[in-house]
Amino acid sequence: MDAILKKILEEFQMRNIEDGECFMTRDIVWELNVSGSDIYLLRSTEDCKLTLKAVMDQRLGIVTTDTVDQAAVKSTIQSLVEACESSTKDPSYTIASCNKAEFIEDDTERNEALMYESLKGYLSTLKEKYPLVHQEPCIFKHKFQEKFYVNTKGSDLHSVTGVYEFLAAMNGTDGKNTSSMAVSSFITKDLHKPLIEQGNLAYVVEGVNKHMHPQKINDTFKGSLLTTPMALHGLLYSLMENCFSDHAFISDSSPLKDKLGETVFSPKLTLLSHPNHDLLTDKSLITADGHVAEEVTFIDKGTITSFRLSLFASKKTGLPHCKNDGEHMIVQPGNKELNTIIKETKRGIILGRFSGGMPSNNGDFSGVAKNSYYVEDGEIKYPISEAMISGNILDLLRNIRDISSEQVNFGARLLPWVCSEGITISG
Amino acid sequence: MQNLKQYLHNLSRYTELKAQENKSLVISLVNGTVTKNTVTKKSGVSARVYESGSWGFSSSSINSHDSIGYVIKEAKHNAKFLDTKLKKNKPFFESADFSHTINRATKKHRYTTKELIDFLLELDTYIQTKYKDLTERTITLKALDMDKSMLFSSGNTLDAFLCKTHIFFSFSIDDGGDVTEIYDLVGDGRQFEDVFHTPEELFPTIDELYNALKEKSKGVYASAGVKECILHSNLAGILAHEAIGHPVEADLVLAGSVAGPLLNQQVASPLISLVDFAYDYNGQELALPIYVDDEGTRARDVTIIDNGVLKSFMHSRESAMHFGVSPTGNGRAFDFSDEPLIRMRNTAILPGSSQLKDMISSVEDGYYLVRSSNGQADTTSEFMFGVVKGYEIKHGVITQAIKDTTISGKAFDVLKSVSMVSDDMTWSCAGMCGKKQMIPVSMGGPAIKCELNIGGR
Repeated sequence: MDAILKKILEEFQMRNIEDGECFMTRDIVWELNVSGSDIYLLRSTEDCKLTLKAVMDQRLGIVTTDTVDQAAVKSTIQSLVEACESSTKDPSYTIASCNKAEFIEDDTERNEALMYESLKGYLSTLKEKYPLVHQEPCIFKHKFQEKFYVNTKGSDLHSVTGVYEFLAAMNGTDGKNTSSMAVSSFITKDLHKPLIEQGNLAYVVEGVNKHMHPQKINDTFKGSLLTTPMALHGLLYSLMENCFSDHAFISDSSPLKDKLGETVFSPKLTLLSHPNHDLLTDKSLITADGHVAEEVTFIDKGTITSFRLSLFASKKTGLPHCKNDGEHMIVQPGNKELNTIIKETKRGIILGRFSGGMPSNNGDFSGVAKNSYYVEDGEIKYPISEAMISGNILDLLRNIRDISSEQVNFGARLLPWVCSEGITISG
Repeated sequence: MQNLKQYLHNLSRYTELKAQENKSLVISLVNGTVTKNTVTKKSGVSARVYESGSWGFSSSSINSHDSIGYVIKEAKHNAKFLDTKLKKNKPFFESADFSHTINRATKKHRYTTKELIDFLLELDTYIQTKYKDLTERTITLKALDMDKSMLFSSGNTLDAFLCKTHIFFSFSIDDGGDVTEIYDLVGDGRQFEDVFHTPEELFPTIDELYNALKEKSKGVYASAGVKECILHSNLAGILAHEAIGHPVEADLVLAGSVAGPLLNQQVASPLISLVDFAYDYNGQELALPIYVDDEGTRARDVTIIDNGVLKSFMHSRESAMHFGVSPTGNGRAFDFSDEPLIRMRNTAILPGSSQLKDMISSVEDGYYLVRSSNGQADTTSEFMFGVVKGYEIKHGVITQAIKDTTISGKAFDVLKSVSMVSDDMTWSCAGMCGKKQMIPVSMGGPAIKCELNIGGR
């Protein structure tokens, strides 16, 4: 790997590329796959990826390949130069300045035997306690990743990580009734803790059982939306993409573009991204634009404190650069227990999963509430089917009634339940 | 394409060996700035081995003689690892003997990246000059080439070069603080040079999109509830794919999809026939022609619904063996490092005999839905897709545009409510379907009148 990086930098120099950068990653994956209730596939993959970026005469080119050997370097860089020559000029194209750091995690190797036993243990639990739950698919893998970043300014960043990733899509069926598909995923290093006790897996599995007999809501009303941590991640992802990201600002479409420093959301909301939090298993130590990732607070007690702009977007817009790709979201907990929040709900739903069209730039959304429950007069009444919800993400985060004191740790995210008012719900 | 036959003696009783390169080009202009100019090549080799009911898979991004030997050995090892533990003792599959070669690459001189960017810049100049009130104009070119060679234990081979190219237009307008956006796309299952010729030929698409945006900016929110809808032929395909296609993929049937117990039962209006085509329709080769799938199965059309009756599921070799039927050639994988899963190919509702104008005039209070965004299916047969372009219909006449909304329903309920099917047909291969792996799919259909649940205010 080091020899290839050295060759790339030499080749940059020979081609007079003053602003050139190279990302190289090596991923080794060992993966068990489940269909139904049985392990059926063992998959092992090795993948190398090389992404070269250059700015020549204010023109940008990017080439990505997985042919990572010394012989291919020349031809890859030739493709890169051609990509630059074909591009248009923009003085905002740039690369990172010099950064040097190394992050080598302890305990990056996989334990195949323990992985197999963990997964068998989970499947045994399902067979014994939840025999009607089917996984399609369930994927349990170990991912070892080595990442390098070098550039012509002298940057040298290196990270080595190894984590276990669990993902299960499941539904319940008794041959006559079928529940909606539910999804659970988390990242862990702890194989000694049963899988069902990690992330939100137990909640999801139990919910699948209940959702084999859902009922319809028979009217349309405006009420409370209690968003579960898993569903919250989806909404926050849309918020970040539509309002905080490079595209939102370069296209001038972000509805929050003039609101830096302003309080636009509920003061109960604090949203940050932490690349190296003690409580999070997954780490993201190098940003996509070649910097050491920093902890960034995007919303502090309702006030917008940062956007998620890369170096390019920052130069383009004149707004501050964000050294964080926004992947490791943490929403600070509130001071009210979930049970209390439910008891204080007059009428609304608990949103398990949102299935809908991409929200508009202005935050408008509509879609189906999946794996969700109807709440009335402080009680969970029944699981619901085919309920549509519509509203606006920005309004949702302005009209927060409560945030739970409990959070779910997904390994890469730490999120609570959030209760908002003013959502249209129709059966 | 690569000759893998020299490795036949290395293969076990059931092995799929693959060498593949996927190349994708994305060029994006946002308000005239090139924000993406990226070529991505993903290539390598893989092997999948079946051992009495257990599967082993291995892949490497190095395509060399040694790495091919390595992935075959690793895949065998992985299959054996599981078989030793699980001892399923399932039978092997019947062998296959059909080989095929297909090459959809253009025979024309290839554009350079600069020429492609210049093409897009001409489009951008046209938009910027003519439509000065747009706050955002994004033009994105996406081109995908998939070059795959496969060898199967029976000795049959697949060499396939498939491709697709699309240009996406996305516009936004700020109408007094309320931002409205819209998108449209053009393209086909071929390389750029065979799909696009001059920027001028796309100007009418741009004009139409701008006009639709202006209408939408003055539009209204749909009212929530169950409504009579006319789905433009653009949307019939996504209905076929999301509402019916996924629930009848045999792996989801085995997982408990509601379609499972409904074979040979009336599940839709007799006006509905739905087919997952393998490679051609009415004598014309389709955008994603699958002659041999990634399991070496000779692909055939699957009539899923025939005059409203559910007739078949879509199968891999393993699911076909479970159900006691012949495999259908639906085992597909996207990248070299992906294993085959049951996937759709070219899924379409067949045309009927009604005229679109008659269908619209038959709706007293409903919607005409024209363009969708993303969609999703469920094992309950509930489906949803986003609608980014649509209109109210009042007393048989199209009136105001509607803002973005989402429609949903239970597949078989919706299909039973179909009362008219138009006589035209539209195909699209722009979509990518997600199910562990993203994969290109093609969908088609006529206009349809049915009842759907609409999300609104």
